[in-house]
Amino acid sequence: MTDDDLEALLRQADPAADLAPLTSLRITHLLEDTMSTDIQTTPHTPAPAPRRARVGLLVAASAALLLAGAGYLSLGGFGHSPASATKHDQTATVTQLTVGGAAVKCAAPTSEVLATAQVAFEGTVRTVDGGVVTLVPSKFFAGPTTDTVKLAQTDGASDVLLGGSNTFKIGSTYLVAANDGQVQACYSGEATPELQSLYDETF
Amino acid sequence: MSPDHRRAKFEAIAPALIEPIRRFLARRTDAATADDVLSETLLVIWRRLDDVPAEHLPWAYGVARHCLANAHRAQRRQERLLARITMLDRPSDISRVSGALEDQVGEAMGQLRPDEAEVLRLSVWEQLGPTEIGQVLGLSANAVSIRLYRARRNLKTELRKLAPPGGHEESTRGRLP
Repeated sequence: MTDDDLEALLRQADPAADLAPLTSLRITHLLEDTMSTDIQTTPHTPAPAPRRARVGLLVAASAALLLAGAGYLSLGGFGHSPASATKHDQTATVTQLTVGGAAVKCAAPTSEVLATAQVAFEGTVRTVDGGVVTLVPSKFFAGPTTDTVKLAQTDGASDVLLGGSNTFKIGSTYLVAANDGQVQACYSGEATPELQSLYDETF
Repeated sequence: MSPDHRRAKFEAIAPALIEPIRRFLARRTDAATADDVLSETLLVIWRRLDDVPAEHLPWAYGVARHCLANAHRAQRRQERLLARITMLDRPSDISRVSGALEDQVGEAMGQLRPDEAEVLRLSVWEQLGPTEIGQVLGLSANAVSIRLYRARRNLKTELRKLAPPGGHEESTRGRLP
């Protein structure tokens, strides 16, 4: 048997020969899942379950952030572009966020990472209309203060994310962080005591 | 590196690595573990973006190999036994036209020393040269070449041992010259 024969034989026995390639959507999700993980948490670190579950409310991957009337943050998201042009309200300032629908795995949130958020606020949901959630901020921890914040889904996002029964409820208060054009999904959600204490600790 | 630059760099590097790493893992473990380790490998690449060398792929294989070893150690700790990381132990759900031949190759590979089997896999399945294999395994190209030589020789010996006697011998010899 020559080396070539041996190689041919081995190639025939390649267990990955029939492996179908991933869809581009799955690849996008894989990349987004990865990039939504904070880079300072070491792998295999188990997160406290309650916080994980609650902080992960905003199960959203990338989000492009537009600040109207308060400047414009650069957009670096993967595969997402701003859903709409900057809208300037003559009478009130608005922070506009668009949210994708890919699922995210959250590592244990840390104060150090949250502290890097360029925009962070506490706000109460005023309306949920046509996939757009309008929040009235009660406090900005970081970033330019605006009168309202609008959160809109991008194409393909699940309806469950916005306006679903267990997501954004009118009258409920949420904590939302965004950084470099991205909503920090793992650091945003309903203002549970756990998330609140993380924000208190950070800001 | 700013977050924007990190994302841009990752998005430039990672998509081309996903399929090779998936195949690398599919050749060495079960489907569920492969999925987990793929995510873990991407995470390590994301976190170590500053360390990624110009030659991405061998480095990424090295990361995947390390993550896979960790996963297998964890599995062993949980007594979900993976006796050997060889194709011999792979689940039999991957359909093959010539199953008998592959079983034979798999069995022969299972008889090799793990480091010899691994250089063969990296050479034939991942199609890496000795220098690249050296990058994956942390060896010199020379050491890889020597190991490859021994691995080929030993695999041929094992395959000859496995060639069944009697009526099937002729056809097997035909397939395994």
